[in-house]
Amino acid sequence: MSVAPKPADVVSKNNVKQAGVGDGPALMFAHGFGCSQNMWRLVAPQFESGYRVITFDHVGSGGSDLSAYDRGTYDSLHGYADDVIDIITALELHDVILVGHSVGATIAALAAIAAPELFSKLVLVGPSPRYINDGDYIGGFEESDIDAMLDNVDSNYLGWSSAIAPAIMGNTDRPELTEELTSSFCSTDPAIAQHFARVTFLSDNRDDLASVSTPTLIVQSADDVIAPLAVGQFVHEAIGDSHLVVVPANGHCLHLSHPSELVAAMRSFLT
Amino acid sequence: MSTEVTADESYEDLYENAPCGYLSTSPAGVVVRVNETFLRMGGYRREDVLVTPFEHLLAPGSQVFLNTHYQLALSLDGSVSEVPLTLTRADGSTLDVVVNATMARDADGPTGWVRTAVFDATKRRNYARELLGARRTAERAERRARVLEGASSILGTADTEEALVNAVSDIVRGAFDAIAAQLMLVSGATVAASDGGVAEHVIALDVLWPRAQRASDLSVVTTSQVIERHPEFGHALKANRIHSLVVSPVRDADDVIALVATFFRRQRDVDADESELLSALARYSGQVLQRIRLQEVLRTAALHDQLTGLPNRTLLADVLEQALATASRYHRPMAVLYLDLDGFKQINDALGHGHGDAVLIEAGDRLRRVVRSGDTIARVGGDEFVVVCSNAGPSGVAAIVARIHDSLSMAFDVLDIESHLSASIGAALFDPGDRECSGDDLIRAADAAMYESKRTGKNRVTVVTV
Repeated sequence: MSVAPKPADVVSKNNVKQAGVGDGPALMFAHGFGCSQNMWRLVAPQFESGYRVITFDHVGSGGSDLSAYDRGTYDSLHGYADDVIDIITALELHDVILVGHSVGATIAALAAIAAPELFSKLVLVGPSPRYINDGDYIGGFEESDIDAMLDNVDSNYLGWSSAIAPAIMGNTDRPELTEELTSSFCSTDPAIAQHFARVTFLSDNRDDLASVSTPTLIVQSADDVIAPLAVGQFVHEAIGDSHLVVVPANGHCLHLSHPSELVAAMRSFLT
Repeated sequence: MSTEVTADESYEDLYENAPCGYLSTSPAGVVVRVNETFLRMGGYRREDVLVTPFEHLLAPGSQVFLNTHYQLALSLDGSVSEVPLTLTRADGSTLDVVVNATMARDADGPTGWVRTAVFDATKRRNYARELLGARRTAERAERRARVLEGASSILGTADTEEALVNAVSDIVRGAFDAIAAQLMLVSGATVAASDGGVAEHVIALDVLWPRAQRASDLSVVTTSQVIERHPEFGHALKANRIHSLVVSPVRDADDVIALVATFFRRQRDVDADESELLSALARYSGQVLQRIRLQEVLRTAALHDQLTGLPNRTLLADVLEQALATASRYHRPMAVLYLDLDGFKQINDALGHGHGDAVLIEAGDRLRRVVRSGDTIARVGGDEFVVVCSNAGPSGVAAIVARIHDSLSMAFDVLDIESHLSASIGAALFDPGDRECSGDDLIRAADAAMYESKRTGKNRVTVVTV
């Protein structure tokens, strides 16, 4: 193992933000593909009264240090999981409750497998250990769908300036959208986005789940095209000490669409 | 021209038959209103679309994009414009569209109600796809050229196997986004393999390069497959979280002399382009490896005597210079022995060169066995040898000389029982102090002392101090 990471290094590398009660239990949020820690803005603040809340951006996303993106390191989700462990080690956190959405949930599971002693609980929101169908396993996608999605990501970046960026940057009547938030969402490098998409959607971590020993809550949308209900059930069966909550909702981003249901499920699991 | 509004321009008609698809979704994401134009675009019936989540009308790739990018942008900003998406029509075919959408707001902020305008963009998207395809092809070609160019300049300067192994590992790791890469040298049926970390293992070549693969240029081996064939190495890979290896052989004619292995922490396939690039790097590594090995052979040949394998005059000069430098630095005595086999010329003349050569080889072996491990023996002429003894004073030299005389006095297989061999030796001692002395000085002195031994009856030693 390398030497222990320094707090200042991980803070700038992963754009780590801390809020809430300094001596409260550590509650850490890992975002999914295509976004940044801003995805947690409707959920994370609700825990600030009782927890030390830590949010961060995966390297290559949001306001992370793009120069730290070593393609070999981030060619698997283990590279991202190692960063989670580095942040925890550098900030000297213990008994961490780690919340991950989508691929962030798989990253959370891999971190908990690599260093179980650091975690007290896991919350996996819309997890999927494999997105591509395989025999009896219904991941939700065929490999050709993933290629089409990668094309979609690419053509959106191709037309990035006319598609998404100006819509965000041009807002003058939205004072709550800080410049920082805008720039963090727009700064994703297309080559990194393409690589992260490939790693996310072509990974297969089904066999790893059985090694998760941390008590786990799975929160799943009833109708989610990216992580279908059957996948949530698969994860629930694979992780021994786990509990599945199905929110009657559609969509993959419960933390955006149904923040109060997600917060309620988390509170009842954490207390 | 009349500017009067006709019945056809009713608001309902403006909505239903607008020149773009139009739909509204609730905060739950389900379609609550939709116009005729949109229904016609998708060949849908109204009842198929109403109360259906909007994302269900999209092709899978667009569903992912909607969930990972689009919704975030929409919720952050309240609108998105010209976003390319793909609809799944009622008949299962797809339709490329671009959409603009706005999210309604009230005093408390975004309400979650979204209005979306949908435009047929088949031609534009086809054009974008062609552009994308061309860009990807160009990028791949550029990347490949850059990797090969970098490889040729870096590998071209590698002059040892170790330097080559390090250079290939760096280049291949970078070219394939691998967590690690290694040039693994093959020796017979085994290969020196790393586990992606620091540990080295010697494993059967078959584990990483199964016979079934040998017609091909590439083998993808998973850690689970390795565990079946070589549990120890497989578990070391697993401990390093390696999921799969992509292996390409480095060939010298039909022999596999090395493997280029890339290590991945996920399931990884290689496409035709990558396979070709890896093969090209393997081929190039092979050429450099053969060049380095040939240079090594030439270097050995240039510095050693072909018959006995002992260092020659050129290497002797180097060794002697180093020995003198060490002696001066640490103020330690040293010696040079000059040795000539007595009566060798007669043996050679009587028994022929073949026997003479055999005697020289045997003599060389015996000398190697009786000098100290740090001493160097060189063959400097037909039957003349020089021994460089570092850190040796008069008594040490006397002991070495005694062992040399003893070893040569024993019978040689190729000679008659009566024909014994002996040696006339000259020993030049040098004790640095504050004096200086060259290698040539020492050899000249030892040579002269050796002649003195010859002159005074052979099979003896003459010691001089320089």
